[in-house]
Amino acid sequence: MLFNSGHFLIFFPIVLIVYFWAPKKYRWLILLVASYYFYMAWKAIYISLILISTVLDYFVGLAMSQEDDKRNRKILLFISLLVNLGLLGVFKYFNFFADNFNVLLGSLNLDYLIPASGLILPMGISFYTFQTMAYTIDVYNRKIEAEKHFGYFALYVSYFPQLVAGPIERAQNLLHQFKLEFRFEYERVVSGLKQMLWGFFKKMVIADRVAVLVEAAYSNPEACDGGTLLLATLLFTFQIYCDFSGYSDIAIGASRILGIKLMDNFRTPYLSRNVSEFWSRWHISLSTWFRDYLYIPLGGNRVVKWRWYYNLLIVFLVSGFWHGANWTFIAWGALHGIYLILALIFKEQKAQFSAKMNKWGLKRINTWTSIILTFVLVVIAWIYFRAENISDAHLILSKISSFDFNLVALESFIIDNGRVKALGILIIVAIFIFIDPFMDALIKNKRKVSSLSSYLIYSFLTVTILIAGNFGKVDFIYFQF
Amino acid sequence: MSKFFRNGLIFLTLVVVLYPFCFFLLGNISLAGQPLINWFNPNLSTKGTIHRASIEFNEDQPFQLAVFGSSHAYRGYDPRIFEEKMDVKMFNFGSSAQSIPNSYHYIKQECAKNTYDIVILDLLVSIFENRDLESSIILTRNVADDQLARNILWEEKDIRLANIYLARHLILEDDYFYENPDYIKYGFVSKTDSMKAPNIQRPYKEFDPSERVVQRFKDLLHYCHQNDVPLVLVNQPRPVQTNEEKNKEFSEFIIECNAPYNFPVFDYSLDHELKTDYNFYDLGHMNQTGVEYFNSRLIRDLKTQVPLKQDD
Repeated sequence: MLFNSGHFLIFFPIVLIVYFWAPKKYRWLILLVASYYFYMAWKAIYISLILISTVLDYFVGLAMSQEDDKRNRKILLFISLLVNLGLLGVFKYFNFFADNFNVLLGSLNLDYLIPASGLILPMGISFYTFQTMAYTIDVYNRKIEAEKHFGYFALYVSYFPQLVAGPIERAQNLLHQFKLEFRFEYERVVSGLKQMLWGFFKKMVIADRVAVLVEAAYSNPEACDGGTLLLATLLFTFQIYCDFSGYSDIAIGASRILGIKLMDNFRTPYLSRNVSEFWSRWHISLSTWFRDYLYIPLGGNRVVKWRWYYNLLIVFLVSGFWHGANWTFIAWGALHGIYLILALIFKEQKAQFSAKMNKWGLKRINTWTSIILTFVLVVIAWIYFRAENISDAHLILSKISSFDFNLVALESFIIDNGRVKALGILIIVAIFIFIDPFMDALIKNKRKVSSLSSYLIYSFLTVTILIAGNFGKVDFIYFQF
Repeated sequence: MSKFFRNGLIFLTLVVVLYPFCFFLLGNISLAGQPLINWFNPNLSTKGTIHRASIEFNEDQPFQLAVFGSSHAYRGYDPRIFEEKMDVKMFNFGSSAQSIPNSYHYIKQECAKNTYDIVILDLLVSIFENRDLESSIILTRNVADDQLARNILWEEKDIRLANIYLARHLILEDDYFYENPDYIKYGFVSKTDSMKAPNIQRPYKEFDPSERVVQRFKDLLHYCHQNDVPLVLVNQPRPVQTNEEKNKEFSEFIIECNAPYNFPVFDYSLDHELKTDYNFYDLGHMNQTGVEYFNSRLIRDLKTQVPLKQDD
């Protein structure tokens, strides 16, 4: 089920009514049934994969908590990781490996082809497998107790607001909340609704409208000039942010209404002053997952320098591969890894330069230069993320960087058959850039406005959605991951 | 809880007031020659051929023959040929991707106001299988009859159409419409180009009609039967690339649905001498030479099998 569908607009109020009406001891069951229904509304059969992960990790968790022998615990952990990663491997990566293996066989003149699997990628598989793996790793490390109640654990794996695109929650944050009793509290419910509304605005007014323009350019980069591709790339930068942070806002808001607090996933990432900061503000639940379960186990920064760089590169390559079974995602991850390594190599020079700028009273200019430079680096990496393949990405990058601009082509991209449709969305994106930090602070209760202003802000958001929103059923980009 | 409902009501009231107000402002302030609303709403198409045709309809009515259907209809039935060879005034109510539910409302509304000797419904496989808003958006924006626009809006229950409906009433200077250079008259649009395509049949894909569309098709047949609407079902010539098996399934489906009512059915889909390279301008639509052949044949069959009231 999509958040931006009529189905969800009926489903969610029903869940709320039943949830708040039901006695506390049955609430987990209501949420569990709702979560399974939510997922099965997409493709019922694929609930079996969630059940496999749930049953396996529930029993592995219990067995590990009762097992003192570290070697046996390690075997149990290995089984859990093998099955979860195996599911990911079969459903998400099989065709990628098969394709590449076939290319390799072809280059060796071997006349054998591994057939494609034909399996549909299960929605959200990367999210719930990572969430359940975090649980087993934490139980293995004795960071948390294994959950004894199967229902609560099943709900932890499948909790519908964050099931298909995160935030990827940790057991220590989420599980205990299912056992608490939440009443219908006005302030909390309204705050959740406001965050959902802001999420819908980002998704329906910006991401889905911009998507059409981005697709037009990226599906045929040969036919576009550098200016058009640059504009499309900048638009994609906001499309992916609004699409994914919009989903997170809807998920966090919906969960807050139910009384369950989910972790922050975005903190105005395009205002970051360096790439490292960007990753502490973009898809926070995934970057902290990789930090805790891959980067630190690899040794983190408590190793010799070359090994530190190696660890960073590995983490970002894996992160890229997590996003999709395509070389473009791996290249995107590699670019971010390289950015971070270069930042470490030139850390001292950067610090000296900043100190000089501050001394000359140019601190603000220095800050904004850093923000713009970081933004440019992130935008370059998005080209690889969005392009259909590596050669398209190179073509787009070369057309932009060689200033292969054609004003007539750019104009025809913006003005469609004599109509100025694209200009409208460009104006909305420009306004969004300015209001996003304010709205982010507002929905996170870091900023207060008067009651009248609040009414006006949220009713204008609603009216903008009604007038300019895309009400077609457009998937969230991160569902495919 | 009462605070939630009280404040929720205030919020909703504000939205209900602001929505048409903002729409009105954006709809009536123009920049670069267009109302601002067109800048922000991609679905809010300007008026087009149907609007233009409806002006002609009001000036030249009554008509004896009406055609409903998709682009195949408005490109497939030439009023000049019908006038010349059948001596009837024909009006083409076809519109892009006109869905069966929309044809149902259109025929109902039109036949309640005017009497026709023959009402042709042009049938097409894809309008039974696909459902999108194109047809409803175009009709809600263009049709002269406000009740028909409301019926379509109610049928779809989609917020995008609410915007289109508001545009009908809240954009005051709404005279501009897109002029199709291929437009002839009375709703008919003609193409003279021909195409080159390999004579390979499209792959078979099972005929899979939408339940809602099938229900509305049956409602349409039932309505016409109950109200003595002289309905004629036509499946116009298709190029050789059309998959024969699927086409057969579709024809059988039409016959099955029509069995209780026994309206005349003319199926020329694969029973014709038209050549893809000369008589079609794409893999779906005939060009003018194809239309001339098809219309002449249909007129001959109508004359022998469907007597006009004026002949009585």
